Amino acid sequence: MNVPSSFDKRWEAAILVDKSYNFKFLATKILLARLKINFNKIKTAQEMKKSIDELQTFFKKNINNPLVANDLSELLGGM
Amino acid sequence: MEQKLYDVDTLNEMIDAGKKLSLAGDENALMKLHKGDWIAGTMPYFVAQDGGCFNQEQIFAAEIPDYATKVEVKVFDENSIQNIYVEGPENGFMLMTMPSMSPTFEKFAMEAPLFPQFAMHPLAGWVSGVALEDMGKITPKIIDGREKKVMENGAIVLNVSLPANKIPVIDIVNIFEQDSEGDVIEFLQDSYDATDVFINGFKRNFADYLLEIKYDIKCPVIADFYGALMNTSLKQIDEQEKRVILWCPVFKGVKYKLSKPVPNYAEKFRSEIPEGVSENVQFSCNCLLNYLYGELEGKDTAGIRGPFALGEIAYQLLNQTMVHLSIIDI
Repeated sequence: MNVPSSFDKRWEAAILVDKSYNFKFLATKILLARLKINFNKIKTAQEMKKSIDELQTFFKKNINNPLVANDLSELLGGM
Repeated sequence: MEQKLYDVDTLNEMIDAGKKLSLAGDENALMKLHKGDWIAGTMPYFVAQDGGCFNQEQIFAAEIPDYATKVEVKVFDENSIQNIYVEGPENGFMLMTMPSMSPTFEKFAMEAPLFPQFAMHPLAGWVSGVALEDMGKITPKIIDGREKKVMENGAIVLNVSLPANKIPVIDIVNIFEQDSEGDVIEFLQDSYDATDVFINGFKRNFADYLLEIKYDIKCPVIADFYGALMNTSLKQIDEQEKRVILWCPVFKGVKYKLSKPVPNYAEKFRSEIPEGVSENVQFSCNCLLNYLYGELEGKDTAGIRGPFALGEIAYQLLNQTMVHLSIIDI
């Protein structure tokens, strides 16, 4: 499964949109929640870029894990 | 290897045979072990082969599987703990122990989610302690088995690399549930205590609020991270100071809710853990508060065994939660 580049607009939506997901991997749940909390405190373009980079790197590093692959589909698939 | 309590002689044979071990036990028992490839934290409470127990003679061991391709011991302090995730193995996991309330623990508890590469590598672990009657008299410790070096501050970590066909999976079991219809609580700062908070958007004193609703402080407040329920346990309501003291920090910007009492902790653990999960578990820990409040002495927790802890670690510090780490084939 390919992980979209950090320029893909769906990453930004993932940080901004309040939506429930059926994630399977604990780190996905914790990381996305933490990135959203941090972004909402600062709300700058720089913080958004940092959040997207972290999220995209997490999926790239862990995409061989079937639970993470599921979470990526869950996160970006519906957008 | 079965995760269970071992006597010192048996463990010394395993250490001499080159086994790589994560250990939990009373400090005096741990100091009887030979030098070797082990890390340990002090704690005499466990869920072991006969259920929840207090044992100062035997030591709980979790062995690193023989198929691990590399096992390294790393030690961090409050100045270096921020690199914990950066230094994680490319495919593998980190197993960490740190003493309760030490400067390294404080830094990790408050700031881990802001550390570089947070959650990029799997990190599980537990916070060491002492027997309840020794609290305030003896400090919790960690031990580096290579030199039997005892530390009151720091974090000791086994960095375990795995073959490409094996993947570590860390998960949690939380027997508490958010009161979904209940009030939304927001804290004004990252802190171990709270005075004024926002309740449904209105500022009021948290101690007064909890006393008014007669809240059972054995029940944590809970944040929902996409279905991962993150507890913060309440230690004490200081009526004089109008302050609520917490067992682990709350964070500004997070929405918390109250939880409801759990009538039977052991039964709830059994119902929350799917059958067969315990067979793949390589490491687990559970919260000492669950042992105490849930009266888990002599009771099993769905076959998952490990030390009770003064804080559980699954990527970050948790509270009143069971953490387990499994390895799956892909």
